[in-house]
Amino acid sequence: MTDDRYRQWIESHKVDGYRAAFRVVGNHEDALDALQEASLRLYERRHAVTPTTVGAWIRRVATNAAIDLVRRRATQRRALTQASHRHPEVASAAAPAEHAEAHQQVLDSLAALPPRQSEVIALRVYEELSFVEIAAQLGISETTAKTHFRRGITTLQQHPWVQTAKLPHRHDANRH
Amino acid sequence: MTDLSHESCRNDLPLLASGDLSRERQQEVRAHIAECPSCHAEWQRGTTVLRELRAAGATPDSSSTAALEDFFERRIAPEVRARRRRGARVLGVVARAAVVLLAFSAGMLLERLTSTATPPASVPQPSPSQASRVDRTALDQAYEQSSRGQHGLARGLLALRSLRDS
Repeated sequence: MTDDRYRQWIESHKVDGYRAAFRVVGNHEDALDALQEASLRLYERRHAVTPTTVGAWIRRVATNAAIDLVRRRATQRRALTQASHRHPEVASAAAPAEHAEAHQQVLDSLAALPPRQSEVIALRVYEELSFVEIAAQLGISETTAKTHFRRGITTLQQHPWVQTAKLPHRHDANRH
Repeated sequence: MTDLSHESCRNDLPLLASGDLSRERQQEVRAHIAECPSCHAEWQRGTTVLRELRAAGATPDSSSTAALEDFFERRIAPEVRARRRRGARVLGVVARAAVVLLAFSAGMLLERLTSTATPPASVPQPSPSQASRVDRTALDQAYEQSSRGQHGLARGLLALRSLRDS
């Protein structure tokens, strides 16, 4: 695998990787960081990844790097919030700036799930991959992928933002 | 109420919400939640989770993706160069360590082949009065082995150097 080939891979798939990360982090700088992380991991794994799988690989790893970033940011915000209770002058720094607060809560909850669950949900919801495709990418069975999805969604249902959101009507259950 | 159990129905509600059930299974689950208030409430929560997740997912505008033009030069190439330099340094250290180890082993082998030393006589169990003398003998033996090792290393390095120069 030559450096030219590696560079060609990055040039071909950087926009898709960036979009995948942006959906989760919601801002340019963090999406760039996640894409950089995915690109450098690809450099380490460049002999194991094949031309046919590299696009899906970058999107998946960029999505995961984005989830990791959201998780770290949430931890930092919690620390800042605790500090702001003691020192009111840092209160403005604790407020999420990149996303609307409601959306940030949802993404924080997603990132707080066990990594496999958040990964499967993000690939299904944001990348719109089928469970067969997710299973192939993660090297797990389709049944296992569905189990991660079910458990993750069931956990997310317990969060307060679900109770305050507008619920679908009964007749929506019979649509499609 | 349908034949479907609550547990079996609830297991499939997230997949109903994401549209991943077979047509036949969808009909069974929908028939159940139409008559079961608790499963219906669960389905509502699952659907809400997916809707909120989709709403929270942001889409970049075209100006953001245009800013990726020099992404490789700016954010990847310097990192890759730094990693290569680090890799080369580690390889250098490992290579030097391997040369020293090889020289040491070769020297020890040469030393053993050419040594005419007789095997040490068995040391009798010391009485308390002889203890300091026996300790002295053990120290001498250790020193002898150590200097033999150093000597072997030096010979090995000299042998490697002459191989390199020839």
